[in-house]
Formats: sequence, C-alpha cells, structure tokens
Amino acid sequence: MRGIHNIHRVLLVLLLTASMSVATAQQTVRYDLDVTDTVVNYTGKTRKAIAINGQLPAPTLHFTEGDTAEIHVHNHMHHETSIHWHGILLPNEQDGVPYLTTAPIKGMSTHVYRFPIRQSGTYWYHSHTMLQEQIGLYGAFIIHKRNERPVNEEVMLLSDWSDENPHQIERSLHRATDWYGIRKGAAQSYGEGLMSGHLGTKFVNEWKRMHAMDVSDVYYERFFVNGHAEEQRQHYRKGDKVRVRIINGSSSTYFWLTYSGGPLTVVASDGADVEPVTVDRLIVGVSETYDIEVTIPADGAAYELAATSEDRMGQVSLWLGDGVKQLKQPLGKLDYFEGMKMMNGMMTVGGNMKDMGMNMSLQQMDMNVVMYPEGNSPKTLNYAMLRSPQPTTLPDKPFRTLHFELTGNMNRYVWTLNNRTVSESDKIRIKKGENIRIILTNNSMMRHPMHLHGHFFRVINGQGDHAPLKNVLDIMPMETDTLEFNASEEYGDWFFHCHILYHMMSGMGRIFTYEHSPPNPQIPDPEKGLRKVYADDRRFYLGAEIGIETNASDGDVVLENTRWAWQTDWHLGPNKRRGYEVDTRFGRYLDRNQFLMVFVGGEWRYREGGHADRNWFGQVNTKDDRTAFNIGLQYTLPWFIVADLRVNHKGYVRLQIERDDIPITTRLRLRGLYNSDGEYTVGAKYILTKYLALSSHYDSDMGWGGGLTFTY
Amino acid sequence: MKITLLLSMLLHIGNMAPAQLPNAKTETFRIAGNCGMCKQTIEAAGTRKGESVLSWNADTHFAELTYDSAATTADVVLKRVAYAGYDNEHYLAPAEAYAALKNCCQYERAPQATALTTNNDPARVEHGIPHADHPSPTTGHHSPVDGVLPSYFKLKDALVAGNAKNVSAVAADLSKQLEGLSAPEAKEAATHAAAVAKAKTLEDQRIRFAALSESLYRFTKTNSPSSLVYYQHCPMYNKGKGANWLSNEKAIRNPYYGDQMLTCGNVVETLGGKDAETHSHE
Ligand SMILES: [Cu+2]
Ligand SMILES: [Cu+2]
Repeated sequence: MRGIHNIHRVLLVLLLTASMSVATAQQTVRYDLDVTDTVVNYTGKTRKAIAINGQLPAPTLHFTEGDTAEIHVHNHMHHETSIHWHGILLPNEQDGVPYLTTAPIKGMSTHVYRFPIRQSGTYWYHSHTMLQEQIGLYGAFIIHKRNERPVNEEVMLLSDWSDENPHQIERSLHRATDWYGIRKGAAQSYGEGLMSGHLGTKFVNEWKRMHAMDVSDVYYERFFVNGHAEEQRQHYRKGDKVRVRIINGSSSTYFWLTYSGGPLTVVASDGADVEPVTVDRLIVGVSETYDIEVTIPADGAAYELAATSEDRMGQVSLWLGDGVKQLKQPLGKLDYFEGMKMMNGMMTVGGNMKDMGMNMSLQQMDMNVVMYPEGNSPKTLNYAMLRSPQPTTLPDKPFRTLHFELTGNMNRYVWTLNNRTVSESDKIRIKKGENIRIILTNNSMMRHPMHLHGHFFRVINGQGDHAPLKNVLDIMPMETDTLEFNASEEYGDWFFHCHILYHMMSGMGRIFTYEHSPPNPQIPDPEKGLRKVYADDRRFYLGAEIGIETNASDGDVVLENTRWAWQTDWHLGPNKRRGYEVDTRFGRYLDRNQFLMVFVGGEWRYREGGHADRNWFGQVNTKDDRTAFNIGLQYTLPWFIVADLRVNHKGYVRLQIERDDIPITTRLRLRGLYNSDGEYTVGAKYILTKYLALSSHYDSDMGWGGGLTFTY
Repeated sequence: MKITLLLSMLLHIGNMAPAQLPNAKTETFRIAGNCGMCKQTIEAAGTRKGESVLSWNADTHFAELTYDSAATTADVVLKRVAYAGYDNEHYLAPAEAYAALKNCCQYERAPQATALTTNNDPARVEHGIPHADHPSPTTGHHSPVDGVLPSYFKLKDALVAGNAKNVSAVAADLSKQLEGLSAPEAKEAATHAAAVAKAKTLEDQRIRFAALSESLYRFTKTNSPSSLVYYQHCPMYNKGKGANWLSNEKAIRNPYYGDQMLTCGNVVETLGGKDAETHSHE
C-alpha cells in the first residue's frame, strides 16, 4: 500500500509541474444528511429535538484539504432549517445563513451544498435558523491535512441541554427571570449576603443597578461530550500521545478543560495551527475549537479529560486508557459575592464599565478568577500565548479601522454593538482586497464569543508577525482587543456576531457586505430576505405576573422588544367598594442602559363611595370614577427603584415609586409602591416554581390579602 | 431488664439500618487507607442518608457497601470516596484530594497515580521564551545576584500564596543573605527585606515588598544574573500607582494580589540569562 501511495505522490508531483490546472487531486466527497424531528429523554422527561441521520449530535464529517465537499441536506421536517459551516472558507452562497447568504431549506425539501475545501483543521456545522442549534443541530467538521501522518485522535464535541423549550428560555431571559439563578444556587439574595458578610456588597450591587451576576444565563440540566455524559477510549497505552479536537458546540456554555494525566498542550485554535503551548487548563468559548495533545502517563488506568461548565453546574469526561479511573480534581464552586464585589468596583452608578486603567485584553486577567477559590494557581491559557507557526501578516493594502463597543442590558436581555442591533444598523460595506481592523471593547457585564463568517482574522496579541489566526474571539468584560483581516473573499454578505445563541438572536452582530457583489441566485429578493434576517431581533416577548389574592388581584402583562414596550397593569378589588383600576401604556426606551422610558397611555378606575383627596401637588383627585389619558416617563433609579411621573389630559400629575423583587432569601421576594396620591402597597412572595409563587400584600385601598401569584 | 431490652432493640435497629434501604444491594470493595481517621473520612464520603451505607475495615482495607440500587450505583459512591482522597477499585483520587489528606492518612498509592507526580511541572515548561538570545560565552560565571534571587523568588511565591508566616520567615533569610553582599543596592535591599520580615500584616508586607523589589531590580540590572529574570509590573496596585517585581518565569503570578488578580500584570523588561538553557541551542 505504501509503495502505491508513493507512486501516486510521484505522479502527483509530475502532474503539478506539468500543469497548474490540476494542482489539486480533485476528489468529491459526498455526504447525505437526513434532518428529522426526534424525541429524546435525558432526564426522565421526553422532549423534542432534531437529529441528523438519526443521531444527536449530527455525524462527524471528515474531509481532506483539496477535496470538494458535496453535502446533500434532506429536510424531513415540516419546518425550515439551514446549515452553516462554521469557520470554513467558502463561496458566500454556501455559507448557510438563511435569507442572507443561502436559501432556507424548506420543510420536505433537499438542498445541496458544494464547495472546495481549501484549509485544514477542526471545525463544525450547525443550524443558523432560530434556536435549532440548542436542540441538537450541530456536528463536527474535520479536515485532514494532505498527506497527514495518521495520529491518535479523538473528537470531543461539547454541548448543553435544557429540558425547557428554547423559545421559553429565550422569553424568560428577556423577562429577567431569576429562576435559573435559583436552580443554580446563584440567586445572591440579601439573606445569603448577610450570612456570608457581603450584605454591603449586595446593596452596592443593586444600587448600581446590577442584577445578580453570573457567568452564564441559562440553567442546563445536562452537558454532553459527543452526546453523552462520559465516553471512554480504552485502547490507549502508556506513552501514547492523543490529539483531541475539542469543539464547543453549546448554545451558551463555556467549558473549562482539565486533564488528570498531566498538562495539556494546545496545538491549534479554531482550526488554525499554533505553536505548541503547554498549560494546566484552558477555557473553550462558545463555538471555539481547540486541538490539544495529552499523554497517557501509565498503563492500568484511564485518565480523565474533563470539561466543566463555567458555572460549575456540570462536568463531562472523556476517559483515555484502560483500567481504574484516575479522577481530576473538580473545579471549586463559584463565590458569587466575590465576583459581585469586583463588578461593583468596575461599574459606575451611571451603568458604565470602567477599566481602572488596566488595559485588559486577550483573556490575560481572568476576572472570574476572583470567584474561583484555587490555591495552587494553575497555568491557564490566554490568547497572548497563541502564536502562529507561520507569519500571518496581511497583504500590503490600506487599513480601515472599525470600532465596536459591545453593549448590553441584562435586565431586558438586549445585546448590541455600539448600542445598535443588527436590524437597527446598516450593513458595513467593505472593498475586496482592503484590510479591515476591528477594535472591540466590551462594555457589558458578560463575556462574548465574537465570530466572523468566512474569514480568519489575526488577533493582535504581542506575537508580531506571528499573530494567531482565529475566527472566534472571546472577549471578557472591560477588555479591548484588536482583530485584523483581509477582505480576501470575492463577494457577498458575511455575518459577524456573538455566538451565544440568545445574544445573537437579540441582535448582537453586524453584516459585512462586499461592494459590487453580483446578485445571489439563492436570494431572489434580497430586500425581503434582509427583512427576514432583521425580524429575528425585532421580535416581541410576552410576560406577565398575575396575583390572585383574597383582597384583590394585582397583575401586569407586558409585551416588549428591543426598544418598545406595551405594559398593562391592574388592581381589581373583590367588589365595587374596594374598586377597580386598570392602567395601560405604550412606550419606548431611550437611553443606552434602558433606564428611561417615555410613554403614552390611558387609565380607568372606578370605586363606590370614595371621596376626593388632595395629592402632594395640591391637586384634588377623585378616585371614584376616572378615565384619563396620560403621557409620562419611567426612570429606573439606583437600587432598581422605578419612578413613574405622568400627567393626564386634565393636567393632573402623579409621581409613583416602586421596587419589585427584592431578593431577601433565595426564594423570598419583597415589593413596595408609593405614590403622590398617597396610595401604597407592600407585598411579599415565596417562589415555588418558575411559574408559581405564594404571595401576600397590603394595599392602602384594598387592605390585606394572600393567595397565589403566577409568573409567565 | 428494660434497659437491656431497649439496648438490644437499639442494636437491632443499628444492624437493620442498611437493610432498611429499599432495593438494597450489598457489595464489597477494596478501598486504600491507613488509620481510624481514614475510616471516618471514607465512611462519611460513602454514606448518604436513605441511599447508601459504607463501612470500612482499617485492617483488611475492605469496605462493605449497601445501597439502594434504584437511587444510586456503587460507581457513584466510589467516585465520592475517591474525591475524598481514597483510591479504590473504580477510581483513583485526584492528586489534590490525596495531597490534602493528613500525613497519617497518606497511604501508599497505586503506580498509575504516582506516575503523575513524576511528570514535569507544567508551570515550568515555559513556551515562547526567546531563550539563549545571547550565546553563552562563559563557563560557570556567576553573578552576585544569583545567590540571593532564589530566596527572593521564594518570598514572591509566598506572597502569591498569601501566606504571611512564610513571608516573614523567607524575608528574614533573604535579608541575611543580602547583608552579606557589598554593593550599596544590596544593603538597601537588605533593609527593605528586614522590614518585610517585621511587617505584621500581609498588606504591610506587600507595601515593603514593593520597595524591596525596586532596590533588588537596580541591583539585578547592574549585575546581570545568569538565568533569565523578568521584571514585571502590576498597574493596579496601590490605587493605580502600580508596583513591580522580579520573577523567574514569564507567566504573571501577581504577588500583590495573590489569588484575587493572579494574572494581572505584564513583563516590562527581561534581564540576564547568559547561562540560561545552555543546553538548548543545538
Ligand atoms: Cu457558528
Ligand atoms: Cu454575547
């Protein structure tokens, strides 16, 4: 066999010298992917998911550099899908962003992707349609180097799973649910603060209008390596080196990687080789890939390559070797209050992050480290350690510099660049051949894995000409990082976005568009297509909190999107004497932090046998029967006190202050309200489930009562 | 009579306890360990109310495990025991968990586990150092700073670890060594080192350490050390005034904040290194 191979090689060289047109041994590698609806049961509950060729995650696709990939995607579902080839350099119409670059794959239809493979390394593929990635539509995409010597290698495709419907997760995030925090033991209440001596920290945190901080937003029931909680490869023996291709295919989970058999040597990132660098652990951002090498230190044991979710809620393992299992020390629990203390120091009352002149960049100062009580300070990979084996300098062309500030609002779950969503900004025009420099500054409280389609960028990291190539950059709060890439593609629209699924869907991204691109045959009506793309971050989310108590029903329903909000609330007494009140308003958030909303609205109230009162402003007010139109504004003051100032069509003024959801213990919440008509309410609720709480409140009009509160 | 009856009843209940578990299953496993203290830790890790009961015999090193097979598995229980530091038939304890055991409990480990400790310390496997920049001209030439730097690095590490007691002890040694040198920078450094040794709190030690690092930097600069020394800077210390230190490794381990901001800082200057890695330029 080897001899035949060598003859092939000689022939190939001869051919190469003979004619450049046959420079690549053209081989078409075909895969058929059958996409089907499926049900899974990971936790004892049956849930809907999506499978490819009957499996979840999707099968691993193998190619060799120089092949032509021909992938037939058969959509057997009744709803549409799409597949994006993550990190792959390809013609724009093959990129797989539905309505932007590629036709969506409609239900019960087949779509054929065909593109030449002009790179090697570890990549993956996933749906770019709505939230399908969360329920299984992801798989590994491995490209071998030409004439690569076979080595021991494994794929470690990491992912997260929630039993909750991803659309419910998304809606809940937009409602600032604290249910996930409760599930994780990360509610960070005043009571817990008091017990651990951090009461002041919690107070300052809320004073600066920050919600309980966490390293991730969603509670996941399960984490997986290749679809399992753990896997084992028994055939490895002492001294074997194993190359592990790690792919973070999760929707919103970062993973720490550690190995019980010794250090880890990082040899590639996002598919591109780096000079080997040896560390004790590394974090793999959402959608990043790393190739690492580990060694089996002895026979008679299996060594644990562990991937731990950044919030420490779960761990998956790949066991290498045969025998008794050598465990890796688990990562310690997070100390949320220490993290909160640090956040307090970095956040201004005005809602801006300040970096204290630290010039933070490239993951070098892991501010999360304050939350990890680890004594023996392991060596952690950061981007400054990555070095490309080859020079990566760009062609000698003019540079254009773009600044993006990563902005966001945890409270309303709005994530933006320069305070604009994808749909709120124009496409960014680039000229073929020019060099683009992107300077990113993260002014939000979360880390974001920013991904560029169809191009590698160099990360300016102090390695000079050998700056590493990547296509995902994890940027931590307060960091500033610089990326450079050459507009080396021919044409088309290329997405640049945060790869945390729920951040992307809220609009955290931009579209780069090559000037003078030819019409894309897959997008017959580009304007309509773009509207479909924009629709993703323009969606409205419904939420409600409805109390049914013995004295009255207090409730509110809201329908909100990035900027607009329609809010309705009511206080309905049990009879006419106690009275009825309904208030509705439609408003728009104006400032970057979304503390300020202006609104127009109306109110109606009725009560029997009341009497006229004088308000704080000396105006006379009858609560008995009033129908009024209002204009006003709402402003979120420090400590989340919402002030509502309004004037009705008769010139009657009302000022109201209100604070909801004061976390006293993990599950106990207090609220209070007071207004210039002299009305007030105090209430408490004890959270039973995500949707249900026991509650009680006292209202100056309605008196005491108790009952249930439903939260949606 | 009554008492004996009561006692026998109690005993009976005691014996019954494991059997009271539903779907009870009993298995025997070997678990490593030495003494009575081991027994306590092992049994505490293996026993969980309503799920499993584990009893370990310190003489035979065998444990009897009874568990509710609907609620848990032997594998899960043995994993907990290993996390508590004890090797068993299914799992070897993490190196850290074993190291955390009391001396008397540190039983002799399986060779698969000891294979790890003989590995290179990854922190020392530095990558990307421009080693052997200067071709090594001399044989065993040593600079006067070579003798004192190891103690200084020890002191720095003690500050990284935040161990005030160690800091005092090491600083006292360093001060003595520095006093023995003739250079004025060394004398100055000796005074600062003595001040570190006398300082009562970790905070105070760090303030003195900043001054010590300044003098020692000047001393190191004029007397090039034979191994590479990195002069490093933390911009945050002392309310943004910043402070420096010397290190024998390029990776940042910040002595001014320890755990809190371990990797905050950057290399300002690289000093010496004539003899560094003479073996490395083949
Ligand atoms: Cu992707
Ligand atoms: Cu993001």
